[in-house]
Amino acid sequence: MAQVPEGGGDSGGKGKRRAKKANTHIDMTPMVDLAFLLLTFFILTTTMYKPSSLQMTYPVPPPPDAPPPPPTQLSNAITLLLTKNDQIFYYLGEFRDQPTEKGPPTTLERTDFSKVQKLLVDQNKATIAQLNDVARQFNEKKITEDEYNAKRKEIKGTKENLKAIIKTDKDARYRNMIDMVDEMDISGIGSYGVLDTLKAAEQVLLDIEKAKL
Amino acid sequence: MSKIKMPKSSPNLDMTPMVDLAFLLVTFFMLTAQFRPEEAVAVDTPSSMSQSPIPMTNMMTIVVDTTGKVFWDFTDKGVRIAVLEELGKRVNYVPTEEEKIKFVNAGPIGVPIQDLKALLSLETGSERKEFMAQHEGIPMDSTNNQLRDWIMITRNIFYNDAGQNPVVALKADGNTVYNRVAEVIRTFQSPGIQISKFKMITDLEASRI
Repeated sequence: MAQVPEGGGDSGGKGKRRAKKANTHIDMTPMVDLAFLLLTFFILTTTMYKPSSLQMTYPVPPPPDAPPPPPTQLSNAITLLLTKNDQIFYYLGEFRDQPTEKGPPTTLERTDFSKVQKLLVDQNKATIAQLNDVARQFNEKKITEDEYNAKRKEIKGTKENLKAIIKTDKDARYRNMIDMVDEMDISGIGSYGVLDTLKAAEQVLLDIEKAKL
Repeated sequence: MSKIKMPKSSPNLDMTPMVDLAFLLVTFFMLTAQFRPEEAVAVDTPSSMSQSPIPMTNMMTIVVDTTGKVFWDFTDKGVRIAVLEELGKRVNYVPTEEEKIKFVNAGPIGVPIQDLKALLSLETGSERKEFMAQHEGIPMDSTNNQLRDWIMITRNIFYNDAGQNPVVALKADGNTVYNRVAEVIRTFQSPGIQISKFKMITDLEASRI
């Protein structure tokens, strides 16, 4: 497509010698092709790679000569046992080997990551209602961000709220634990702990359930 | 009937502004693009809803891959060299300048201290990758917890330099057995280190992008 100037100024005869009117048009098509090719390449290969992070705070282990801490109130706790194939088993309240006045011996219920959110939200309705209430006040600009964060913290820290104990057995994956910590945040559970050991009695029950998988 | 004469104007558009823009964009993308360095360790981090970013400097990362091998990484060049020199003292190994440069650019390191010399004598990144693949990562047994040494030395060097502790991050593959990650966390909490706050590196949940 390059345009070549046709017939110069020299038209024969004795006519004035006119300066050549060179055609200054350069065909830009190949250059534009190349530019767009590069542009497309860079746009397509650029991925917005943004890792994020979960801030974790683990309790500082007590010094060996410290007195044992007082037993935690577990009546409002849910214990979640994470195990192979992304399965979760759970029980509510304290673990009971034997029937006591509080109820029959503990049995494990089975759930998984698609259902556990509903379970936790159902168990923690009162707290979530409070959190939503504060969030609404914040959205309507009745309280400042600092007040909002302080109130959230206060609501989440209430002792009567649902607590969660996350325990992993030897077949659980790291992903499972991260997902579970995420669920804690979604369902407004402020106090939870992650342990990688099970009580012997829990392990026995879990092994029976795992055998059924 | 006379035919309607179509004007014989050439359909030439002035492409200059478009080309200007195209080149502007090309230049922008070329200058801002950073090729992701070839990962010495393939780690597929799990995703989470958390959106807090990770710092790009002053961060020590402990990497755990799918098989449970442990690696150490640090963002800043000066600290990396100091750590290498300090670790070398334990096995009577004095790294050359060339080996120091290799160490700085090597990304996550996962070999027992006594094999550092052999690792850094290798020329190319793929050879080092291969070498690390044949080793068991940084040993973390109760009798020979070298991970603890790595962390302690890094923290001491950084603290003497900057007067504060570095940010600690744990980057583990989603499919790693959790017990292995828990061992690393126990090392974090062991006496003399006692890191109780750290970041777990995750990908942003797909729904949030």
